[in-house]
Formats: sequence, structure tokens, C-alpha cells
Amino acid sequence: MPRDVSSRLRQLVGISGLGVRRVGGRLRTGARGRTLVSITGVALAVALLVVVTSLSAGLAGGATVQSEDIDYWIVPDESGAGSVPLNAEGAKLSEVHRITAQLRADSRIDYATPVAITPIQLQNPTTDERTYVLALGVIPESGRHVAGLNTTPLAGSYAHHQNGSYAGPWTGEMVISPAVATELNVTPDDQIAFGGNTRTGTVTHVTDTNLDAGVGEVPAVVMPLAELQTLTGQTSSDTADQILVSTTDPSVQSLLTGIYPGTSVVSRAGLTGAETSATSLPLAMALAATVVAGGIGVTFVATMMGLELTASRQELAILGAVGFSARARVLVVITETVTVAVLGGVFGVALGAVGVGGLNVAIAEVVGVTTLATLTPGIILYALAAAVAVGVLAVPYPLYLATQTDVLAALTR
Amino acid sequence: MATQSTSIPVVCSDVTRQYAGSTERFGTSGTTVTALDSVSCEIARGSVVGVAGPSGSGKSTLLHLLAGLDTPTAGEILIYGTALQELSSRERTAFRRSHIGMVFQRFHLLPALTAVENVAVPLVQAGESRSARRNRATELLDAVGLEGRHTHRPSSLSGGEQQRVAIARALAADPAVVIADEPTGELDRETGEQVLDVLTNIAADRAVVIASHDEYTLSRTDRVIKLRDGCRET
Repeated sequence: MPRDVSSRLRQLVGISGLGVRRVGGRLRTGARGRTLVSITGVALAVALLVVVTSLSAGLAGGATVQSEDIDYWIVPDESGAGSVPLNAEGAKLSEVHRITAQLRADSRIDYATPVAITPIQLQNPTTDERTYVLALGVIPESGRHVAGLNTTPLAGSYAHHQNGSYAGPWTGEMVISPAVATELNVTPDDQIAFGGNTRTGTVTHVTDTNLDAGVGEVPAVVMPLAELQTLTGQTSSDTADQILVSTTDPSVQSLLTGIYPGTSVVSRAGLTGAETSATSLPLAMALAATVVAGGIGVTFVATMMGLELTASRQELAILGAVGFSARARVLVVITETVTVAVLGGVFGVALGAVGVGGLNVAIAEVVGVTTLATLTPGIILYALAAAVAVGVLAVPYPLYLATQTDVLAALTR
Repeated sequence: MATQSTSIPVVCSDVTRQYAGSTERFGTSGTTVTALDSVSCEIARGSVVGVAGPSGSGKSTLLHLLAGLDTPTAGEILIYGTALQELSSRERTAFRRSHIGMVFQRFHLLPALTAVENVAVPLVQAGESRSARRNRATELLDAVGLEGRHTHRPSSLSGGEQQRVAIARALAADPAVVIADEPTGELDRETGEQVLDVLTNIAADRAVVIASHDEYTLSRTDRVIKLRDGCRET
């Protein structure tokens, strides 16, 4: 490296280093008040940025309920996400047994079942009592719940659909909700007739809780999908209303998205009407956080560094007296301002990490969803970059004050 | 820029400094204040020259002009042959960096830095390496009797120690001229004597100018330039 260039580089590093050392020295002396306030201001702003951005990233990435089973629903777009498990109208998914078999072959997926949702009429053949119920047709498995109804009593009885045909034995087993049991006055092992059909069913189990559809308790039954399809004439194209997928791996979501054209993949959060994919809300939140945090940070740093500079104008004059050029003094001010912002950024990231943890704990307590906000290395880098940007944007005001400093006047004050 | 071979390093010829209108320093408006009026002097290498006079006599103004912190309204100031009044502000700053060391009455150290960092400050823009700066600063602090106080910040140093740090800082770039404005003004007699010992010792190969109204301080100089109302007394 030419001597002139290396000398200039040393000069640049030395001047910048002086700015950093002055900030560090100030923090170790009694004159730390304003600097600490500046750092705290940036730290709070960056912490806010980290928390909101982590929340946005969690929403955008569908990283909800990571620590528990994640339930995804593949639903036709027309059906919307507002009433995912209860939608009885609209477009259907076809070839659901074949698709479900494919999904079950994926090691990341714990459980998958098509769900057909159809209102049907049930009758107590003994008392002739009749009622319409919401029938949920699923491929049952032990330990699984669909829409809150336990499918365990039906496990092992899925025989009607075999090798693409509906020629298997008819079991007629069904799990009914307490509302159905009350309306029809039936108990386990009682026979049940289907309105308009000669086939019969058997009450296998009465659940403890009813299906709550949001507008009150709905009488509901769960039964093998193939049998419900046979009852409702949906066997020709093997249709269902949606496919439920349980997994602990959020990466499955991208697989699900590509299975059916014209469908959406919604997560458990979809139960409250929030679609987790392709939404602009997280982006809007992140942008808002950036603007707010940036505004707060810039205001804090510019104001406090301005005050700091006003109070220590004589020190800048001293630098001038010992031979620091105006440009070098400006560089010292820039370095000091950016250093304060970066320190605030580092503390802000730490504070934000604590905030993210606290937020997740609070959400888990209140909503029952864990790990909603996700802090990633990318967000940490983003927050630090934002802190640097805050420092750079805050520079003009202290810089203006620095350039207005008359060395002689400040020295003789 | 400077010609080190010039025999008389500091030459002032008919130097006048006037401040027109409102000035922060003099608190006047609408009038012209003559702070220095046709002052001439020569300061030889190896000598300690005192500048004496009551408050407002122009002592500080003369020192500021010699340091290149201000420019004369008329007259000429030559430091090793370089006419300061012909230099731009930027050139004067660069000249001051390598040729002039300054010591102030109130020390003017940077409170956030340690003693050794304060002394090294003038070497930063000179492009010296960090280790070279530190070595030089350490050497100078030892030379002014501050061994073991290198890492202390000004707030934990006594007035005399702070002034010695300031003198070490003034010598960092090995300047040809050292200008001290009331260097003992904030110190007790004993501490002031120690500081004057240091200042007179460094004059062997440079010109030292000390402004003071203290008789004892002036008695330690080789020669005294007396000012009154901006004019040199004969």
C-alpha cells in the first residue's frame, strides 16, 4: 500500500477511533447522562422494531404453534377461511383418499385426513325422534380430534373404502356429540337410522363436549368419510370439503400449497379468520415498526447528541486548537453519533429478544398458541442495520452544530 | 511551508487586530475595538518569552494570532518564514498541527479520554500509527513527571497534573513553537513552579511564549513583552 494511502487510512481509523473512545470514555465518567439517554432511546426503538418484526415474521412464515401439532387445512378458495371446519357449501376437493395417502407418506406429516362436512338427518328407530346434524366424515385415527370431536373410538374401523372402491364392509359407527344424544335420546351401542337411506348406524361414543360453531352449539357426528360419502353420493369423484393435516414441521405448508390449484392453506389461526399465507399484514406491521422505530430513534439521537454537542462544544474547539481540521472534527461527530446509535441497537436487540420471549409466553398463556413471534439472525442484522441508519439520519443536526462552532470563541468562553 | 533554518522562528511586524461591530468576545456592538495595535516582536529559538499586561491588554489576542487561531487585521506574523496571515483557515490548522503547541489556562483536556489518549490526540490526524502515538504519548508523560498516571482521566488528576498532561500534549507533534496562555493561572504557587520548570526545560530547542500577569511566572522567562491597551510598552 502506498505510504500516503496507508497514512490516510490510519488517519481515518484514528479519527473514527477517537469518536468511539470519546463515547466509551463518556459512559465511564460522570458525564454519561445524555449519552445514556440517547442509547436508551435507540434501544427502546430498536427493541420495538425487533418485537414487531419478529411477530410479523412469525405471522408471515406461518410459524404459529411450532411447539405443538400444527393443523393445516387445505380448503377451496371459494369456501374462505372464516369458517374452516364448518363450511358445508361451496367447492369440493376431489380424489381426497389418493391425495391423503400421498400426504401420509410424507414423514413430516403426523396425520392427514379429508373432512367432508354435510348436514344429514338422523333418526332414532326406536322412538322415531329425528334431527338434522352436521356430519363430519374423516379417516379416523386413535388420539385424533377433528373439530373438537374425538375420533379414537372409530380408529381401526375404516374398511368401507379399499383400493379406490367403496366395496368394503359397512360399519355404521359414529361418534356423536351430547346435543345429538339428547335430541335423539340415544346412548352408546344404540342403533341410528339415516333419513332417506336404508343403511343404519351405531352410536360408538358420546363425546363430552359439543361442537361450537361460533354461533352456538351444533349437534354433530363424526363418522368414517367413505361411509358419509356413500350416504351423500360423493363417491364418484371421491370428494371432501377440506383436508386436515397435522404436523410439527411448518415447512409442510409449502407442500400443501401446491397440491390443489385454486385452494388455500390455512393454519389453526384460520379458525379465527386469519389466513397465514400471502397476506400483506405482516409486511405492513414490519414497515410500520421500522418507520416508528426509525422516527423515535432519529429524534432521540439527534436531540440528545445535539445537546451533548452544545454542552461540549469547547471540546470540539480543543480538537481544532491541536490541529484537527474541520473535516476531521466533523468525522469525530459522525462517529460519535453513529456509535451511540449502534450501542443503542445492540442493547435494543437484547431487549427485543427478551420482549419476543415475553410476548410468546404471554400469547401462550392467553391464546394458547406458542412461538408466535420468531427472532431470526436476519431480524437481528436488520435491527442493527436500522440502528446504523438511525445514527446516520441523526447526524445532520449535530453536524450542523459542529460546523457552527467557532474554535476561538469556544476556547475563550 | 516552514523553513526550519530561519534563525528567528517567530517574527511579528506591526501586527494589529481589530474587531468590528458586535462580537461575542468583546460584547460590543456598532464600534470597532482594537485589541492589538501595531505590535512587533521577535522570539528566538531556545528562549522563553513572557507576554505581560493587565486584563484586556491584548495578551491572549497576541497568543491567538501567533497560534494561527486568529488572523491579524494588519501586519505580518512569520513562523519559521511562513506568513500566517496569508494562509487559509485550513492551511493554518494544518500548520498549527505540526509547528505549534498550545497550553491553556484551564488545561482544556478532553474529559472522556485518559492522560495518554489526550496526549496522543494531536498525532491522530498526523496519520501516526496507534502504537507510535501511544509510545510518543507515554514518553512525553514520563518526561513531564507523570509516570503511573497514564490511564487516569482528567477528573482524577490534580490541576498541576492536568496542566502537565496539557504540556505533554502540546509537545506531541514536536512543535517549533509552544504557546502557553496563563499556564499557572489555575494552580497554586508550588504546582505552578513545577509546571514552569517543565515549560522552561522544553525551551532548549524551541521557542516558548508564556502570557501571564503573574510576576513570578514572568520572572522565570528570559524576556518579557509588555502590553497595555493593545500596544507594546517600551
